[in-house]
Amino acid sequence: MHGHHEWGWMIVVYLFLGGLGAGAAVLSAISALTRRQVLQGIAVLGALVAPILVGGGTGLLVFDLGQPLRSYKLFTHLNLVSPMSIGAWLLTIFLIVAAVHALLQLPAGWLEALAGRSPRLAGPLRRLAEWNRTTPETEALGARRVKREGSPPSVDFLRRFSALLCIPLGLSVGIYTGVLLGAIPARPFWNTPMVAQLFLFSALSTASALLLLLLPLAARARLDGGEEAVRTLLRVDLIFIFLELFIIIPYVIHGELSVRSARVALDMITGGPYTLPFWGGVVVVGILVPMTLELLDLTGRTHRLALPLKALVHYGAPLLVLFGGYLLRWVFVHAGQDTWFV
Amino acid sequence: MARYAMVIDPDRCVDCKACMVACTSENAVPVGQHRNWVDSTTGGTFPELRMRIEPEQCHHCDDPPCVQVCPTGASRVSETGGIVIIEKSDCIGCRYCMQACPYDARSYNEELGVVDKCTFCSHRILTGRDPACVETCPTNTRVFGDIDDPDSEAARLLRTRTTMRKKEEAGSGPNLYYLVD
Repeated sequence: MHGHHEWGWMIVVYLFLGGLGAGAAVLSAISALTRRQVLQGIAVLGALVAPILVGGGTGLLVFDLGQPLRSYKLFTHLNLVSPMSIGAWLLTIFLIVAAVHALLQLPAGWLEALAGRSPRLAGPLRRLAEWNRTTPETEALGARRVKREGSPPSVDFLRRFSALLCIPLGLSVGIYTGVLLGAIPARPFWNTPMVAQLFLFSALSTASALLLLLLPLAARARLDGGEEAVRTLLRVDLIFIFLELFIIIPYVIHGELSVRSARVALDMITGGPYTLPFWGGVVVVGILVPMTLELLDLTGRTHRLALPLKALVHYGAPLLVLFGGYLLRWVFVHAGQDTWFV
Repeated sequence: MARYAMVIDPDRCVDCKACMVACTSENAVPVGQHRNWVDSTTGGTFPELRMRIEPEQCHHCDDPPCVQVCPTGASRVSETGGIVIIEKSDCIGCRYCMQACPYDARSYNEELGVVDKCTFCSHRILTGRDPACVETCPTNTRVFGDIDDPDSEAARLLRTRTTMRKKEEAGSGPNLYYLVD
């Protein structure tokens, strides 16, 4: 009866996009809450992509159901011991809060341009633009902070509250994508709390990689996406891909020293069919190579390189991180379905 | 309270697969899917060989992981005899239960978009008949009954013979017993 994988590419892409969007929401919310001028590019871009990515992933999740039209049944029932039931509620709440966060972070310039194009929505869009218009305020010490003088206190509160909520909700969505797999004792390859940690760290790392790629857009929108934002994202990415390594190492050690089912399951990546995708793809191409490139980039060792090479390092590293993050989900979803109690 | 279980004597099974045919026909299981099957493994080295043949299906666990993970409550434990069932009209076809089953005893009906499994032929039990696989077995490999009823054949076998349950370490409390002596 074994052999066929019930969960395929749609679940892999969903887990990847869900983590990516959740991570983007967390990074955006923290950047927005600091009110630091230099981080506003991250705040806006992260807020914008988070609901789109998680929404797209959720769409795939629904489409993968045998009965997509019955998906409302997820909300007529709450099963506190089913990760999928909790996840359905969590995704819904996350999407609502992330959408509010995104609306209240949209730059006034973009909103006014939109208002110019659609006369029917011009009124509300202009009102939102007024609320979101920022003025930098010089601080006596340190960085410049942004102020939104056009916001009534209630809108200001909602902006801060939705950003604040995005942090626990984003972390929860990031963890949940791993718990979905990890809470299944019948699949020994998945059944460890380390999968949730790994997926969360990967979510935050892929999100900073995506934002590194998108930052030039912030500059075009006259948002701050300069050197400081790049350095911040590089640091965040380095921290989390580094942490990923320190989950992968104990994951393998624990698996090898565990019960027979866990050892046999681990064979999938220690000699089995997923060995090359995991060690070559996820670990070397997706973690070690971009980690080295980002370290070079961050410490300024690339400044003597020719411009195309410099750009290759700067944009190549985040692309590899994204590739590694996708491959990580692919390996786990498929290798897990090839394992069972023995 | 009844507690339905099945006691299986692997030494009697000849891998004729009549149980699979009977089940498929009784429950109109689509082609390509099965609610039960027969596992056979060969051991030893020629010429000293042995063969173990074991019928397999849903183990109708006391604490079924498939029911635990179901997000809509479609998978549930029936009030009659603890049979694990799927309320098809509540199933959204997420297949999470198929990942959670330690016995890989569930199949996916692509046409209906819902998951399918053994019901111990609950429609037959209601009328006092044995499940189709039990009734059809030519070697009487399977004994079905209420193990809470001390007079049932299944309960008597559990008292007088040594049995084992598969993958007990999964902690789900399976109700398929295999005779070992």
